[in-house]
Amino acid sequence: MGYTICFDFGSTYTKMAVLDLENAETAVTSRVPSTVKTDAVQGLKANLEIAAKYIGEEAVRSAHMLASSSAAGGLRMVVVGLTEKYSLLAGMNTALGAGARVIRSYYGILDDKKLEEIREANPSILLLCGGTDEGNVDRLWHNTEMLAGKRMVSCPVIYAGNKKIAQEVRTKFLQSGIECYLTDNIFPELDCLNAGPAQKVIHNIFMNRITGMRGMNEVRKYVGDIVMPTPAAVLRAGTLLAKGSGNDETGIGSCMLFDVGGATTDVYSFSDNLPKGMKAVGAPEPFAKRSVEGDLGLRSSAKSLFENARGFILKGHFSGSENKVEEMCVRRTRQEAFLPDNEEETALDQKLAEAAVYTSARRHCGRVENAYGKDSVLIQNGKNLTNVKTLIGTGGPIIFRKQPEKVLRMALRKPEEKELLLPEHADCFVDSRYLLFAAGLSAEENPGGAYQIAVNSLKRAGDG
Amino acid sequence: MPQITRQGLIKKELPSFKEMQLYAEQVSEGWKIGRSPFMDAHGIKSEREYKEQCKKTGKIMRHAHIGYNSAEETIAAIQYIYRELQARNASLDRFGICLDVQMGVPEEQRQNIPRGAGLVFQSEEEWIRVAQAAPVMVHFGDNMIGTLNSIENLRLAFAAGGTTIGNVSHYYTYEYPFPYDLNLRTERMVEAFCIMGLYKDRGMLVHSNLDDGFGALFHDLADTLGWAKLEKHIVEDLIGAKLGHCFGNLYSDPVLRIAFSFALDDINGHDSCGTMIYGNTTDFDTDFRKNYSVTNGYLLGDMIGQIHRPTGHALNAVPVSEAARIPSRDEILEAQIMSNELERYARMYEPYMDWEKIESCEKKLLEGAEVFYHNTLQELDRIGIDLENPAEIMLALKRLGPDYLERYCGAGKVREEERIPVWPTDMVKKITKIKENALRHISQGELTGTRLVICSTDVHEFGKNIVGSVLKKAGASVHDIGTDASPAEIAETAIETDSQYIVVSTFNGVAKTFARNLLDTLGKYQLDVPVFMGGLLNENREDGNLPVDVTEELKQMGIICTKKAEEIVEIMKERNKTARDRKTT
Repeated sequence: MGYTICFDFGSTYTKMAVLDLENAETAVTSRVPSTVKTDAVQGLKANLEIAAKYIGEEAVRSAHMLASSSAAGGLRMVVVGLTEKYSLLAGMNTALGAGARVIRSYYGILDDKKLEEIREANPSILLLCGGTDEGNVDRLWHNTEMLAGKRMVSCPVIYAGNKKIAQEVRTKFLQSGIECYLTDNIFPELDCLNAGPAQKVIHNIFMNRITGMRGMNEVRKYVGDIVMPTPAAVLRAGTLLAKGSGNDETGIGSCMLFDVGGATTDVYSFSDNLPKGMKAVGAPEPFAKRSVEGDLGLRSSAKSLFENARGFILKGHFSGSENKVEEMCVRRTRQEAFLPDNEEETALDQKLAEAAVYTSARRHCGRVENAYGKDSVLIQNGKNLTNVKTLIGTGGPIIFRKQPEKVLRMALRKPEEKELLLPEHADCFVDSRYLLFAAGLSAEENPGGAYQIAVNSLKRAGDG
Repeated sequence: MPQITRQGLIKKELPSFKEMQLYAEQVSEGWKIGRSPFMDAHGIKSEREYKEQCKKTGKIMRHAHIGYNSAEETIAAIQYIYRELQARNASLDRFGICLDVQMGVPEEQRQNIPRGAGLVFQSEEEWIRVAQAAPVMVHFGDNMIGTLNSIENLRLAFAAGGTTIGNVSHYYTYEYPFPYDLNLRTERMVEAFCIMGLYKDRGMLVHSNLDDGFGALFHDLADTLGWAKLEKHIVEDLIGAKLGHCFGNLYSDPVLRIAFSFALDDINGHDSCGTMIYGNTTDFDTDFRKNYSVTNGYLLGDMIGQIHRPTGHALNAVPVSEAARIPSRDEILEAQIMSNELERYARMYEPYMDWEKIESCEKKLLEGAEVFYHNTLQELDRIGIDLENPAEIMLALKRLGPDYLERYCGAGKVREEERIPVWPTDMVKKITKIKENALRHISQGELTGTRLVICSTDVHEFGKNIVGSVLKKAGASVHDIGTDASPAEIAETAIETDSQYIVVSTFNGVAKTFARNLLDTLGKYQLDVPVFMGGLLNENREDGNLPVDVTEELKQMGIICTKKAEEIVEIMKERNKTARDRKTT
């Protein structure tokens, strides 16, 4: 029997899951404090020692190893499109779906101010897109000339726009000493999102260039390449859960997943963007969609979370104590390793987790909006998630809460929020053993086993 | 076939029908029933009673639509028209007032919806004053039952002396630009119909204009007739009220209009009490001289039909200006005078009609209608809809939509995945004919390499589709962003697709505002793209309530105004050539 050992090299912990995919069993999971900033191989070895205790050294040696990484903020990307609702939206969905964190995004014609912002942001990859095939050329060429001519980017550029000028764009960047990779247009026609090829290129660059880890060469000797960013692995696992492995399982159906962290909150949705009986505007939405909220987190982003959800947080238990709560949030922002040491601090962590889910769900979902014109016409802007049946929580701030169900239920639409395309009712689960990343990593190897492992990891979320 | 489930259609359970009936009884207790001068003049207690008398005596009933946006102007118009007709010994039996879309919304929510061109009552007193302005019976058809304000509007209509009140169709097609509780809207509508049922013995008649609802969206007239039967089943058999149908806006062929009214009468077991037959407005255009023959053409047929087999319907002589703007009171008066004069000719023609032919047409429609009716009930049953609960049926039908119903329950035979209509509607015939004519004049490849965005500013897509087909045949790359397009959506699409032209079809009376916003938006996006506009190029003036033609103003703004698809091709060819010549020099 062969094991598959999956690693997630994160900033705080290096996590491991030892899987027996044939029997859909998990032999052991562990996490050790991360050493990715010093020497990633130390955290790896500490985990492997734990694995050896459970399955034996020989089994560890012969195991198939897979790894993802979310260290150092993971993959930081800038996306440049031509229009907000079409190529930029398509580009954002492509980058986020590849597991990236989009640190800046632009649409329209680039100017010096925007170029300076891009330079300062110092992304790992820049995605340049826009124009349907046979569509716009001149605005794309302007943006290419601005980026290449002024040498404002030092990172690789992926060009996924109008194929008509792809070669010229690449030549322009190469002449300026900027790496440029060509891939299929992500938005070749008005009603088509073609994210797959661009995401493969992103992963390829990530695998070979970006891991944010010291000791990477040594790590490779054990686990091979870091095959993808951890969020991309979670996206695969979610897709597998929703659709099933293609064998006998039909999957759990449409679902949403929340990963609340110290710095960010990631929201994933797995659902067809079913029409809501009205016109949907903009580029098509993907089945597996991810959004990252860089200002919603329980530690380094606690202050910005408070600023974003002040009204929500100050309701109930914390009403009337605005200054005090703000100070408590500032302390969390300053001390990333902060641990609550009394009931009030624990209660605030619960409230902050609820606020993060509440706010991020409302940013992720589509909305019903009033269309232009005198007539009473509604349009659908963004993804319709009203048919989602399951909410899943992952990551410590949700899993280790006393009331995880209460946190997840914040994603549900309230009766008065009729414009939101969120579900009204859903069952709540947590990824109790933190196995979704591992299921995603091993989905290609054994989809049936990976699916079962993901399902087995889901435990009904308690309400305390 | 899509997998439709009951849960998908009835997302939240509705109250039982019994509960709705009880609520209807409670809420309507002690309601005042007004009495109009028309009732006094004819010694009747309802319009329905009057209709029954007309059916017996063979009197032709007449209807006029009055669409001003203030109570004072409406009252003055009613009194003026009545007075002028009296002086000529001519008759008008009823008038319909066009309530604004705001009236379909409870007062506290009206700030959420822009005011349209219709009438907004400011007080209960205004309802009464308008309804009782002259001895002509009032008809409350627009934005009443089926909206978000069903019960309150019904109460006010009762108090004003209205006895024909609608509109079943509005529930299916009227929407609101803010989120609302559809279950509650459905519940209140059914309760309002229950109240109409409670007052059936007082002559209350539920009105449904088939052309306002799904009836107008079907491609097959047999399906429309089947839909009428379905509405009758819901309102009469299940709820216990009396239903009167209206049709006619979209029916051009006068013989078909007669056949359809007879078929409706068959569906009603020869106990029809129709509200009115609307004028054929599909043949109207902005040439008023031509429209005189349209009005006289359909009206003559409608009268012959009513003389031969009265169905209770009043006949509506549509003023010749209706396609271009809200008619003035003199134009309404003129139409009514024509209608009165025409009657004697209709009586001369009637004995010489070939009724056998019309009856065979009636039979064909009826057979198709039965198929649609039974298929639809069967489909609802299969999905698991409670066929005893009218609210659940109506909510399910609304969510299924006309495309689904026609595709999966329609009467026509399926050929190559398309259902062939038993009797195509005039709109389908007309569109097909215009398209064929336009395509005949176009050579393939004339616009090869030309890229353009096409859209409509409202829900109408026939015009857009015709122009789109013609431009495609000419070889252009047509980027169709559909209906209800916004200026930003148009601009962004034009950028992504590098379009050289924008083609906008508009029918909702916002031509000038839309053009101004579009040009502003294009400027913001730094786009210099020629804009074509076609359709109904009109808009309300700020100081008045008559939409006026704005073609000249649009031209001054730089918009290329055109009515014909072939013309657009010619202009684009010319412009492409100029651009090419400029490049070579």
